[in-house]
Amino acid sequence: MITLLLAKISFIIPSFFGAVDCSADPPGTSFLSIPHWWKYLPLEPDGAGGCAPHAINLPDDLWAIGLAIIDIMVRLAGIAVVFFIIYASISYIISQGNAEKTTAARKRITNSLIGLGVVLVASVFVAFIGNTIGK
Amino acid sequence: MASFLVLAILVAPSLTLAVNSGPCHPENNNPPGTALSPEDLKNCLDCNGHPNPTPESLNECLNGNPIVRDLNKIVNFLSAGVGIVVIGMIILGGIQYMAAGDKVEAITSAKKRITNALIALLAFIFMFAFLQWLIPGGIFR
Repeated sequence: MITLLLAKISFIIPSFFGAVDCSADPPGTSFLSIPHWWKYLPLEPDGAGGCAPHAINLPDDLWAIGLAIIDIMVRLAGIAVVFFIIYASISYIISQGNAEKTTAARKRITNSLIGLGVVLVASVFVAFIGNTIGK
Repeated sequence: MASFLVLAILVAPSLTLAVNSGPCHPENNNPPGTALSPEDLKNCLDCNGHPNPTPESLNECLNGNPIVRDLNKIVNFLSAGVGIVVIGMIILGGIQYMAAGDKVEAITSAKKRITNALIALLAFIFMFAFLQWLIPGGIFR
């Protein structure tokens, strides 16, 4: 029991129990699992138990930051589609059988799902093209 | 006339490579960019002042030329960003599609954004192929 507790504490406060591994953006350190904008930059321990970029060389690191911003946008789109679908469902409920309002709500739901599909297909498609051309 | 001026300003300094005199000089029946015979090349100097330049040293001079070197830097930087910008625009269009609701004109603008991003990607791919075919050695390294 005590070892389990210690393991939990060491997971929460890693700086007390050893060096922080900054080879990748450490998981569980960001809000709503949205990645940091410095995710693809070379990271170093910042002394407070986290990781921070050591130095930013512009313009060479600009595209690394852009890639992280795209990651953030994909996560934000995933969060946004939930809210749009909930909003459309509520408007479906309160339409009370009004034909115009129900079709509008149904269109709302399909459009938000189409938007989610566009976001997912875009990320997969362009990653595929980038991998095949970049080699 | 205009094209000759462009050649003289842009191409001649990078291709004729600081030739000194005789057949090396561009004014002595050697239009810029034409290949010299090996006998003629022996009397020439490359950009560092060394005699008897080889094709390798001439290529080195060409790549060390400030115009070519900086052009390569800029082209590599910008072509690395094309994919990132295009995917960002498509994702922005997807979010716009989600937020459009049941408004037709909002959906049209989102679709327009996505198709324009795809057209830009297509234009870059064709430009890549064309420049790789046009420029000896290729500009994208």
